[in-house]
Amino acid sequence: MEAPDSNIAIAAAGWHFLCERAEILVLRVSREGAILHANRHAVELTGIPLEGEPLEHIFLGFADGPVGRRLLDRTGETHLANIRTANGLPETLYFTALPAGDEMVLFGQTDAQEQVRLRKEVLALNHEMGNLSRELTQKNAELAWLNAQKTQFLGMATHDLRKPAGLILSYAEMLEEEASGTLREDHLHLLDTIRASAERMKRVIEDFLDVAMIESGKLNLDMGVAAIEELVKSPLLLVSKSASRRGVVVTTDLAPAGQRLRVDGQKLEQVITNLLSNAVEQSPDGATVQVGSRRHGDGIRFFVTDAGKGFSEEVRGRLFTAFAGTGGQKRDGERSIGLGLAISRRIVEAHGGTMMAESPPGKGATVGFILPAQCLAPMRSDEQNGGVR
Amino acid sequence: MSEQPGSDPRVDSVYDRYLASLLEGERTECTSVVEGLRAGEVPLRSLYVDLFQRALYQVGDLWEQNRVSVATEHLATAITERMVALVEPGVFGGEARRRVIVVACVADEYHQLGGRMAADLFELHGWRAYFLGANTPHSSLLDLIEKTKPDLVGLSLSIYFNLPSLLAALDAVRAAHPDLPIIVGGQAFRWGGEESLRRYEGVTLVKTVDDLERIATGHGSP
Repeated sequence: MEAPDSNIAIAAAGWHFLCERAEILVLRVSREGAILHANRHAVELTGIPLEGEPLEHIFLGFADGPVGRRLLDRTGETHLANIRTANGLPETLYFTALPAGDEMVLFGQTDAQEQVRLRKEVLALNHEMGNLSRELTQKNAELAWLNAQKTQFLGMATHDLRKPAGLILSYAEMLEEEASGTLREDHLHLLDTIRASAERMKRVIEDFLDVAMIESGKLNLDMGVAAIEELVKSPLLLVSKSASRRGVVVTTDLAPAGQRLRVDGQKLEQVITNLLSNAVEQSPDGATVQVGSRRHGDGIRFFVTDAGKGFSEEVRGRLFTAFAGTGGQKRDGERSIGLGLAISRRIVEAHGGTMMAESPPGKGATVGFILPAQCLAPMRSDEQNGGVR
Repeated sequence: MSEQPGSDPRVDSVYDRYLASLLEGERTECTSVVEGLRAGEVPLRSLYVDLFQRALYQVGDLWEQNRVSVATEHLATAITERMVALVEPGVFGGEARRRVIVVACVADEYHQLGGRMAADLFELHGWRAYFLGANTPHSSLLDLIEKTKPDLVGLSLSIYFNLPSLLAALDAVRAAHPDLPIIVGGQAFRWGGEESLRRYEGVTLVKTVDDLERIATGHGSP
């Protein structure tokens, strides 16, 4: 048994340790609930001086009434309570209130076992996430490699198919022209089917070749200067036959008139042809399709509006993605492979532009693209004046 | 500037800054150091060995000397794991691989970074390296071996006291695949344990990264 003086000294040393060094929250509190003294840890944890503050100020009050009062009323029991901390995150402590003469002393501590369990779980979760991230990175690399292999195969296969498809088409056209007088009606019909199929095959092969070329990073632009009217001339001619066959009228509304563009004319014509043939394809017989352009900020916007059924928001999100299943059914029952818009997107993006698509309910669809300011070439009048629009 | 024999001088020049940041738990600063080295095209092997491994060994030493807490050691490990994830896209080539290794940490083993880096070094040498992380149950290890038919299995052990778990894993793999070559390695073997591996046929203890790479390049057993 220690002598009384020694016990007092031990108690004083213990109290000093609690006040200055221990990682336990210690508060001397009046029986009315005012904080009389807070140890160093309490002040650092809460980030406020605390002395003189009402005890309730440190707690996060939920619907259960005053937390501090309840703790003081349940002397000797241990209860969970949440406090506000300096770093903004709430912290849960286990509180015990003990009487000390006219005052109360409130101790708040964390559960060490709980912390250990938490740390172990966080570590395990971190490991799992790390492993998943490694697996994902590994699989991404494999997918990228497989995609490059696919592109290479696509390029080789379609390159080899292009010549025989071209020959079939040429000979079918030649036979139609030269032997039509000697062939029976049903044979002529078969010949026409061969020609139409070969034409479709050639278009598909060309799309595949374009995709293979673009995906292998070989899309080189041959830049030149052309007026917008020139850019739509050839696409209009190319769709005129299929449009007139179904009574679809194609109108133009190009502005600013005579605007010249610094672009790869042949590739942009391919984009416009694609948009126009889609629009004619989607429009009902006798409808009107409009192709137009407008200034758009510093750049220019091209658009083609059809009178078809339009598309849903969900389809819009995938419209310009290759093999995304947005090809749909063509008028003759053929299924479109849906590469045209994906190719168009790559060509437009190579010019620094973006594709756009709108489909207000019941009003057909408008699909087009926006080219940036650097694609605008000086007008002839500006060149003469030495200025650029 | 800290130097270690044979290490990349560009890594040496930032090593002290990296280690200090790691011990402080400064993830952003560590990221900046690693990104700087990657931008300078420092080889991945140098990052793994001269930076990540070296720093973690040093953190481990400091922990053993009671100079840093286990929390600091865990945080440093977690940050390093993040740094590995940062550079890992450069590890995987994606092309078809002829040789396959399955790397795992044994049951009760919560340190996995050494095993992960070993798996990545095999990837850098053209292997397809599957990695099963910390605390892998025997059943998961055997399932993956069955599925991937590896040419080699690697087992990592960081804590010497988990040696019985490693031996149990070796017994399990041996029972199912008597001829499958196995390598084992890890910091645990600094304290011995080599003799307990002698009873296994075809099990090789790999003590250094150089030894590991000799195996990965086909210039060492197995």
